[in-house]
Amino acid sequence: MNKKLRPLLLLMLPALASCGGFSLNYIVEGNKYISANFNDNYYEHWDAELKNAEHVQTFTETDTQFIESFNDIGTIDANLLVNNPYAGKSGYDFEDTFGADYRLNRTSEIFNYGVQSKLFDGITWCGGRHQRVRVQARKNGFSVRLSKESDTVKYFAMNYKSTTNNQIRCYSHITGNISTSDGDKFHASTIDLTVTLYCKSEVNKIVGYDFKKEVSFPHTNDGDYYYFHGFKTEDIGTENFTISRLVGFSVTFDVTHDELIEYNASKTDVELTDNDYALFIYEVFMPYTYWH
Amino acid sequence: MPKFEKLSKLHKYSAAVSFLAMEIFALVAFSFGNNFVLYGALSLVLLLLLVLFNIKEITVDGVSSIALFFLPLFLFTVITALGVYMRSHAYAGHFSNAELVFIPLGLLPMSFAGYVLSIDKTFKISTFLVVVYAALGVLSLINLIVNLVNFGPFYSLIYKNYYMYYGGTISEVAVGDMAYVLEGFKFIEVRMERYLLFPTLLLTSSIALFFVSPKEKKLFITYCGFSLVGLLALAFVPSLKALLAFVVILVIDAIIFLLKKFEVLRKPAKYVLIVGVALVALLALAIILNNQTPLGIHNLTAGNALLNRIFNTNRYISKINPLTYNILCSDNFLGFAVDKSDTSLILDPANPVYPELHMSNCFYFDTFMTSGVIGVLAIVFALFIGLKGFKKYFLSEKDQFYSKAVLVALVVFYLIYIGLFNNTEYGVFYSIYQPVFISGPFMIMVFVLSYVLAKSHEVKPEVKEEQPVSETNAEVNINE
Repeated sequence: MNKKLRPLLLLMLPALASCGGFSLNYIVEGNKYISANFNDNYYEHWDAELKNAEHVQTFTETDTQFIESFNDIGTIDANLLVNNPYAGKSGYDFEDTFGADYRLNRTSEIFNYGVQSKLFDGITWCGGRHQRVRVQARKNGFSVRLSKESDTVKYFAMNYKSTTNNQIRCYSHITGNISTSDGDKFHASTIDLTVTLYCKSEVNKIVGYDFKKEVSFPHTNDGDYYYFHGFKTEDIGTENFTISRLVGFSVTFDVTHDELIEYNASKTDVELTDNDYALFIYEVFMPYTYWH
Repeated sequence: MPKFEKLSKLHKYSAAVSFLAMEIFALVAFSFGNNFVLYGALSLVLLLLLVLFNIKEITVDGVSSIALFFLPLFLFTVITALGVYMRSHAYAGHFSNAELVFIPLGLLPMSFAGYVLSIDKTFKISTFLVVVYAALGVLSLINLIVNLVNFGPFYSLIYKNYYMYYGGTISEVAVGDMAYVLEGFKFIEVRMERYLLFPTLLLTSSIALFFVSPKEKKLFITYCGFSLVGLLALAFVPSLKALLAFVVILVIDAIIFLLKKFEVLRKPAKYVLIVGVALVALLALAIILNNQTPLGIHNLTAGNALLNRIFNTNRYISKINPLTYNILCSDNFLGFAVDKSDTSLILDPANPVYPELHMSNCFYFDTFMTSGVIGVLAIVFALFIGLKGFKKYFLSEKDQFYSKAVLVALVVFYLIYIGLFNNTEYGVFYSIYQPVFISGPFMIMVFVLSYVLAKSHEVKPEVKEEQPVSETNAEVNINE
């Protein structure tokens, strides 16, 4: 190489190296997403590739496989898990066992980066940690783009609860009894949840597979009511259907029904704006999935 | 010594050992693997080889030249390795008890190697400097490139108030105060002080540009290259700390240059230095005494706005004060006792002022924790003796002046850096605990101080026994 060009190479290196900015995907301004202000914590990031992906198939899950609270974890269908040693566990037990064992950040370092790392850290419920440990989704949802590909994804599960910034609850979560004072209100809602799994096709094009499910929350806004929503992909899809080469997923929902019910009084429908309703998603699991 | 005659024949191969020494210095300066056990093992092997190949050259008088540096260093390393503080960190899993042995085994051989290499004619200090700075340069360049790839140029200013999510939690430090460095064999996020250490050490090579003629093209361009890489690494990751460090380097360069150029300044500079050192010592004493509650000095300083700011409330002193609170307790004379289950140092739960302690940004005060009052006195004395050796070294005819200037700039800057910007727990998302005395640059500094002391030592001339005049000769003389 011409000796005169060598110093230029030294100066070019920083210029060339500046083209990356890969870690910038994982940074946020100030205390975004962990603010005490409810409306500041919505995570609405959409990866451009996933947003423009073609949705090639839609599956509707009809089984009501969810639990009302961690205390009912034993109701999870044993088919969802290869082993089910976690039946009958309490919330903290669930986190310390199932959460610790199947959290995605155990499988690869990529799950440790970004706001989405809250979904892969094994923390499956609030436990007083509030916005620090969950992703707050608006109905337009969010996407998570992964920098690695999976092999076959057999299971997908999410642990979440519904909420609004209208902190009204009726059930006494200490005694488990319905409050019986006249005028007490509780929040009931139903959503159409769509989990989209994005995979690379044979021609390396990203396509989306929608998994839809109607979810009812008789106790929206109650801090103790978590929903463990899991399914086996091959059970939902057609025969020989598999999800493989997963590169991302998204969560969106539509609120189909939402009302504030007054105890022992006539039902009162309440108009809620889009800013009011949210899903608090604590964890996403994809057990027995390998990444490369 | 007839029994070493066979070994002395190995001396002709000492050039190979010098070359090995250079490689080891390069690895240590590069912080290769960031493993002090590795450095300790390498320096021990190096010492054994150096002694083996230079046995005939080693003299008692020569060894005594570094005694005043070596012995307090020995005391410091042994107290630290056996002290309750480091053993508690071993209990916490940061090190194993066996690894602690490499604290003295790493530093002491390095110190002795400084003496042996000073008498080895195949060892050139100019080559040592090029090797060390080249290693620092490569490391600085690698770290710079990784930061540019991950964050882009000037990110520390652009994203000053941004935070990074990792493992589901938001970082304690802002993006503007973190950087990627090669740590061991992977790149991890660390606090800015760790990133800045290597390019700022590299930039100390800039003093050579004042004393190397541009006509010595190869040498001049080499040092230009070192300085340029250091400057680029600071410029593309700008921060207030980088600016402060840069100013300190400029001041050191200016002082060395002016003292060389204007002999008339040397005498006043000596007195300024003495006064400066005395002031620093008094300030350190005042900080310690301010935190001894029975003396009541704290009430005085708290009552005056300026004194309160200096001694109690500024961000820097607020990290140091907790360390000095209990240093005179007899329990802590050889290092602080820690809660083994949680080395966040719950020294005394009943202590209403400072129930928890953490390392400060100042190595000299942190040493109260790791090695106690005795350890601090030992290391400060050793460093004082080492620095004092520079005076004789500068005045001696040995080694080229630019090498001497670079050595003093390197050592003085490093000692200032670890006093102002040290960060023992510099991992942002990973738990890293690395006290200064098990780091590569500290070992290099120990070697340099020993070398300087040994080099400046005046070798006593051999006293030859007077041969008795023979009777025959005497008769001849008389007859003549």
